[in-house]
Amino acid sequence: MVCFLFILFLVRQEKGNLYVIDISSPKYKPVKVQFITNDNQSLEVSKLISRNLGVIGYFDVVKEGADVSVETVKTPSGFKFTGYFSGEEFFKVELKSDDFKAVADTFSNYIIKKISGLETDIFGRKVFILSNLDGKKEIYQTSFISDTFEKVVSAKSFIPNFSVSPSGNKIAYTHYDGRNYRLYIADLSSKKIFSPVVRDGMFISPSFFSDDRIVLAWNSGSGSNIYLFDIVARSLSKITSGNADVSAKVMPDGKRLIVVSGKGGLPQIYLKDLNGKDERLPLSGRYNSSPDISPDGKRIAFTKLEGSRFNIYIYDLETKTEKPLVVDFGSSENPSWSRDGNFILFASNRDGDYDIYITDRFGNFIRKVFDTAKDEFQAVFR
Amino acid sequence: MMVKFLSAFVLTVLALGCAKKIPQDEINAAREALERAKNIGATELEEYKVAENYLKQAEQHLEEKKYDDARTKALISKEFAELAIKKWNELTKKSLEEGSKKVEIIETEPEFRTTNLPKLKGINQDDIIGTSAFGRGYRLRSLQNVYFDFDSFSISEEMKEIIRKNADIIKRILDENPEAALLVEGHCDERGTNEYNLELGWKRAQTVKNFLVLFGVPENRIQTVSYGEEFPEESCNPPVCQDENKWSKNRRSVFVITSKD
Repeated sequence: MVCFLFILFLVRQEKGNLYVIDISSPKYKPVKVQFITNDNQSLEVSKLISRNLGVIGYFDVVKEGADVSVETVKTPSGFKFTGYFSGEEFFKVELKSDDFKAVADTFSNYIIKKISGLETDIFGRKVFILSNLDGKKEIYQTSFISDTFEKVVSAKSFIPNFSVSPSGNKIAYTHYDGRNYRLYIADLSSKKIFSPVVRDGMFISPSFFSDDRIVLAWNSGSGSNIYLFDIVARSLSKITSGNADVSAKVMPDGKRLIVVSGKGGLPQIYLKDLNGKDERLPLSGRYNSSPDISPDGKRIAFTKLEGSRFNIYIYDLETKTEKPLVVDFGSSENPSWSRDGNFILFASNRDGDYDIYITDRFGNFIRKVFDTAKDEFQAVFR
Repeated sequence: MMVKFLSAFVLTVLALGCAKKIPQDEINAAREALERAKNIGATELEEYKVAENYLKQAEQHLEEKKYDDARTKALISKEFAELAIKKWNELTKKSLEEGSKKVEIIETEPEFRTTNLPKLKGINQDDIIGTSAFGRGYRLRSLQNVYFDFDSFSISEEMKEIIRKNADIIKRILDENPEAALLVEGHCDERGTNEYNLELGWKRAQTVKNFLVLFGVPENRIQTVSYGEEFPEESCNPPVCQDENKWSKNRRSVFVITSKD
């Protein structure tokens, strides 16, 4: 009876598909997955997959006692995976490629869907990271997940913050030039760097909202306001006048702006539209900042200073409610949504230095993803 | 006979030429134009709603196999969608025109302007305790730091006195060294976000500058910079470190003798 109930608890059915866990339920438990291989290449691929799944809290990769076992076989053109749940064949898929990482990434995305119903493509995605690996804050590129970091933007001093264009081909960042904080745009395709000739003041927090348009804060001497920088039109246009507006992001509908402003004292998050309507989000606490908008525009992940540490919350724009996502886990900052809206990367100093962690939009788990000998302050998927 | 054949031939060609073509291309073009209008946010415009309505009618006619009507409505829909896009772009451009300026964009590597520090006259060498961040200037023992409360750029009475004393020293140094200037740095403790702390550091530096001007230091000889939380005096990252004593040392303005360039 207990076993029967346990299996009922594990399994949910939806629209004729069989999923093993319900990730929207706070009571779900990770699925134990075991990989069965009979050749070295399958073993190699399975190790990569195990590593991938190790950062997603829906799985525990085990050597015995599995809920789901996956038989991995090398075929002439790639690999075949057959999954068994309770002894019954659960799925069968063949991936035709000899690129082990590509196969591992594709299968990892696939098995997440089979187990939970969640459509995702995070494995194999590029990730851009702000790290002081070489002693200065600079920008690196890696993939989800990999140990290899490639420096894509160097600093002569330091880079406080950056943004990546939707296409992933451009990086906008600010850099201290010995006098002021200037804005630079690195074109990763042409390997060229551009900068608007604006020598006064301090640029802060650039944020791309299309490949050629950036919103950012500029303090030209009387406090920071948000400007729109249009790379093609070569124009810098003022959008806000709070004189304490330090960062902004454009909503996916292109009609509204999320602004972090200290105009009321400590920073709070405001929603501003093109008609001038400006409302403060009804968030608790005295210090709310670092918003990132979900790809569907329905939720905002942000940080809330509680005591002396930052915790990560999610605000629902439809229900106008907030809920905690990552709490009491070191000081957790710079939340950043995955492109499919299912996961959030963030930086935390839980282990002493800042590393990059991942959680899902329900806050079901927290797993470390990137950890070098130094600090990783911010990570963005592309 | 020949005339009858030719007539039949011509009529057949004409009939084939006039055969009803399904207007799928036109409907797809209308859909695509509406999608573009939607993506830029033009959905509230009257033109968009009209375009949507015409597309619905076109699709209805298509189902009813009234191809000519479907084609006409699809073409009208596309026109209205394009009008909506044009109008929306004009409205957006207009709302941004105020306060808009043209900027030149150049290809460049990130630069770093080093400072050629002047040789200072009238200063006891023992007073120089080192150089500041990025070698921008000299730190002097006699120029005390100014400290701030959490999230504040207000100057207490005690700190005003420090600024006053610093101002007397600075005025003398600047008088004796025409190529020198004063740099006021603004710093924050590690609590708070990077971007907010850059702004707060700027406010701290600006406030100190204002007091220095009040106390007679020439404004055109004062530079300011914010380093936010980048260079704490004593690192104390919460929550592992919970030391208000360290944090209070990091919330500071530093006075640096630099070059007037």
